[in-house]
Amino acid sequence: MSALQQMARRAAPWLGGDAPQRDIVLSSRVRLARNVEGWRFTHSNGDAQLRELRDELVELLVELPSLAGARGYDMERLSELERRFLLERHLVSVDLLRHANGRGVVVDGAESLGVMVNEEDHLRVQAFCAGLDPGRALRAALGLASELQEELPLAFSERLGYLTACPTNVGTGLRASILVHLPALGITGDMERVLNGLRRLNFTVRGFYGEGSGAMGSLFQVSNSVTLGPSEEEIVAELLEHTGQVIACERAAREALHGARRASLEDRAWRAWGQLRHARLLPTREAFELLGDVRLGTTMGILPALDEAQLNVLLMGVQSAHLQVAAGAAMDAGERDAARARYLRGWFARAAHGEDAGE
Amino acid sequence: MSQPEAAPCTACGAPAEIQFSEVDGARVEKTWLCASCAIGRGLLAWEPAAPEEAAPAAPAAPAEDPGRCPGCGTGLEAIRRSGRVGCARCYATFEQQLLPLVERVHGTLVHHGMEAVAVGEKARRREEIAQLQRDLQDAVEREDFEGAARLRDAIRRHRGGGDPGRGAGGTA
Repeated sequence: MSALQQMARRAAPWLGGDAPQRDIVLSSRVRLARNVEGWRFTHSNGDAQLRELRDELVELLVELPSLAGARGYDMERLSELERRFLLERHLVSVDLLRHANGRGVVVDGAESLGVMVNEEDHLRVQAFCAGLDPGRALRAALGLASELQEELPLAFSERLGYLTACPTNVGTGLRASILVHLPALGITGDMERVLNGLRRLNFTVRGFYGEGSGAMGSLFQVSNSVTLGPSEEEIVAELLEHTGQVIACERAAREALHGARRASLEDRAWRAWGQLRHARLLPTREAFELLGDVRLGTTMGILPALDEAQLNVLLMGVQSAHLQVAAGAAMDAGERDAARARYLRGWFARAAHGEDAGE
Repeated sequence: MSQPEAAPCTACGAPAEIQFSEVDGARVEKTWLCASCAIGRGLLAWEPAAPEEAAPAAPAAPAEDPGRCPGCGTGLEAIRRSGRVGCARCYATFEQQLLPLVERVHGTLVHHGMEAVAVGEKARRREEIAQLQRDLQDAVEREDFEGAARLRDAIRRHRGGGDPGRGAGGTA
């Protein structure tokens, strides 16, 4: 079994464990962009040079103390499916898929710390943790960044800070994001007002899964957009403060739903439960919506108590490339929908022991 | 935002130009802030300009045409189209055009975060390696493969002294 297949068959370790505000916040992520002095930036460089740089950087990265036990992956040597799997796992970006030549990624054993090589910038450090704890992710990322700059001359200016390919990233090169579940705000109709409030404060908010047609499963990613001026800690502190306000709004909305629409909420939660327990075919979007309904149902005490960390694992595992890499075989849409339903039925059958005891 | 008579900035005391209203349910809180503090707190709303939009803001006839960046050969037009610079040196080459853009996006031109502090022997060697690397890239561009090979050897020699052991790596 390949390393990636093993990865696909188990939960990303960082999804478990301590997760502050886990009823609303799924995860926090910190990304730092860096470039190596003396090399042209990725999109101005040729494939041969990029390959050389990639190989050098991967060799260096896997030796760093912060990345002990890490593996390096050459994007060119991975299959299309394996690349998509890493994308679903949030370990690589779409950019690394579109241009695999001379690109790579290094990931530590816990999958919570990694570096993309030759994405828009030469190095993109990424740190993840469960729940609302961007400070923790920041410390991990900064630790790795410090080790990096001991070994490599980085493009940096006193005035503009770390120099990046895109001027929108200069300075700290930091993008901090928080992934939140906001179903109640969607139901009460307050979503747009709250999100626009965030946008006015120069935070970016977008639906996390799915393009255009809105957030699948009411999942949103809130990120900073300014990277120059404030320190890394200040950026994260501001993000925390404002996301905290959104979380409070969602909590208030859930409280309101307790009274006003309890019956329809209960129906919605139990229907989702029923489908997840018994459906034979589930497309991705539907699985996401149902998992979102179940998440709301369990945090509101309607459904049996479920571990939100486990629900996060399911959200990861139902994705298309995950199913195929775990099975070790490519599948067409119909086969995937069946595999997805089977995966969920299995998990919810075990969870349902709680249901039977409760009813 | 409204701009009636001036009041001191609640953050720094300087003359404030902006009254910021925060709506929290039924409660409305008004604060006076000067432009710098408003920007510093991320409260001043502006649209980050895409490089293409930044173009009209630049002087119609620039004092001097920076031409192509000596570090990577990229021209201003390419930067505007792609929204990306070609190398670190572009920021110096196209300072006149890029700094206003950076200021528009971030509201400031000064970095206050982590620093790539150059210290001691290791840093000096790193800088030498960086220069050799730049020369190497140029040699490859010029198809001077002999020169490139010599430079590669020089880089290897520089690296050889005192680097942490480069193991077999884990490239899959």
